[in-house]
Amino acid sequence: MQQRQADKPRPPRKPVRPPNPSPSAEDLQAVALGRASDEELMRRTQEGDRQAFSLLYERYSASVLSYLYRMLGNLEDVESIGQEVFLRAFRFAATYRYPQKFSTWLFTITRNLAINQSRRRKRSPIRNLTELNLEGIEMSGDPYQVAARATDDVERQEEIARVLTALEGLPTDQKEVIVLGIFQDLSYAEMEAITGTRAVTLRSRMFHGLKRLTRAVGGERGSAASSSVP
Amino acid sequence: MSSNVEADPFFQLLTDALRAGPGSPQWRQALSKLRADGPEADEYRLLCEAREHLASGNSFRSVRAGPEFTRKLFQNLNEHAGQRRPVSAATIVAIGSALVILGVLGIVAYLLTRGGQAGRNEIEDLAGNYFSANGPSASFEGGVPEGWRIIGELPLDFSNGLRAGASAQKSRYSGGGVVIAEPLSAAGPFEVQALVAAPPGADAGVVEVFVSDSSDFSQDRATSPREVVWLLKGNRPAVVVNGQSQVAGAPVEGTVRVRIAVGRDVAIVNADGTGKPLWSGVHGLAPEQPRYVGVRFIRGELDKGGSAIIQSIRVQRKAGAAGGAS
Repeated sequence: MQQRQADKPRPPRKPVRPPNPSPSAEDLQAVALGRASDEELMRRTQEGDRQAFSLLYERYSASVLSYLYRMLGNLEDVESIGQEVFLRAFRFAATYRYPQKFSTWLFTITRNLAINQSRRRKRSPIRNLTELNLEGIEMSGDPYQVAARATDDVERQEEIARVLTALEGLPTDQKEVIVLGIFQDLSYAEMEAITGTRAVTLRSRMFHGLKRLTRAVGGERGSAASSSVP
Repeated sequence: MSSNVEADPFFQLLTDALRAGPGSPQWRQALSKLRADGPEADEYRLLCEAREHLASGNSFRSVRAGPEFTRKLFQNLNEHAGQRRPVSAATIVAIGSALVILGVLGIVAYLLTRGGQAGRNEIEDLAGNYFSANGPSASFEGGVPEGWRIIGELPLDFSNGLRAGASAQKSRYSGGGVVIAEPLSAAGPFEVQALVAAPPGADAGVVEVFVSDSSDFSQDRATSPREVVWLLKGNRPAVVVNGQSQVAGAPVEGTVRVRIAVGRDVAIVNADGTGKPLWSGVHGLAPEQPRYVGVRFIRGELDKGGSAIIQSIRVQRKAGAAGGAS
């Protein structure tokens, strides 16, 4: 997900084997694993190459886990669902169809599991952080710490923290499009493929979601200003 | 935001900029447009401000897998790779059931195809017979004809043809009729010919001409388990095979000549004198059981009028065929 995608219609799904010109197994062997595209690595995974899957895991584990943390807000769920996402990606690798983008395929799995989990249970108490097998929790979970790392300007820190806190209160569909589009850097076309929602609706959700964040920050600004008036 | 606004190119540009964020070409393009719009675009500038805050806080809830998370995952992957998924009992039962259903469907389809073809050939053979040898017959002039016996509880009137008498029962249907005393062999084909008169107004109850494979007729309705029946209810004829109505014919008036040709497995029913069968098909009678030919009436408590009249019945065989049951 390092490259941004233009909003253009996704081509229809095709069989696993790519159309011509298609790299043969020999061609793939010649490509160093580290430089191979996600899709090539996935094709190798389909042929049983565990090393290729390890590389995909390296590339996407932080992205998937962060998405889950932002959407679920429950670290225990992040850990268990995160495990399940990659287990399923490996077990059901055969269901991936080239030339679908691997990130879209993976985030469809991730999103479905996250939705199922959030239906199963609402937030539960968080375990002791030392028991969790995730890193970066302390510094990224608190909006004020995140804001403090972003800028030395105290007033700006306050605004950043307010926006991040307000993000929590958004309706799920608006929060999802902000998390996927802004934090995960997915295009509207990719989000459309993952969520099954039309791009125009996703754009509207993005607009209204940010508008709510704006109101949340503006409202607090207003109340802070009025409370400071003698 | 209305759908019109959503179709607006500026909305497209703005939402592209909001997604792509500060520094992107869409962002720069959107900001220059907002500057050109002046104070009217203040609301959108606030949106961009919120977006900038999100960009600054993009490490919010950013987590990475720890070594233990990764170790646990790949341990699970190894376990998965080392074992094949066991087939559950439910899956085995489902597969077994599907195979059984497919097998049964296949057998049924085969039998229907084969049976249907065999049935068609037999019907053609039966229709090609000429039944010239006289068998048992009755003209119902004054009493029970010789070689026939009474069945059922409904009183019968033998004067000038066979009629149904008044039912003594008050609360249900009752039947009565006559059947040949000595059954016919099932080995050779035969034809039952009956003359049934249905004068206007004589339409109470049901009159039936039948061939059965059993002598076990019920006392109340004079029926048996397996039969090929031509019946007349009111003025509407019909064919019933083993309790299942097969076809209903056009209304009849006056006298009807009923002909039921019976082979080992199939039968043909004619009743309109046109030569075109009212019904033909597999009769379902037991192939080794002797055949009983008869007529009967069935009346309900509300059937108060006169019934149709059976003027005569006779059995015809192929010339040279044996007469009785084997």
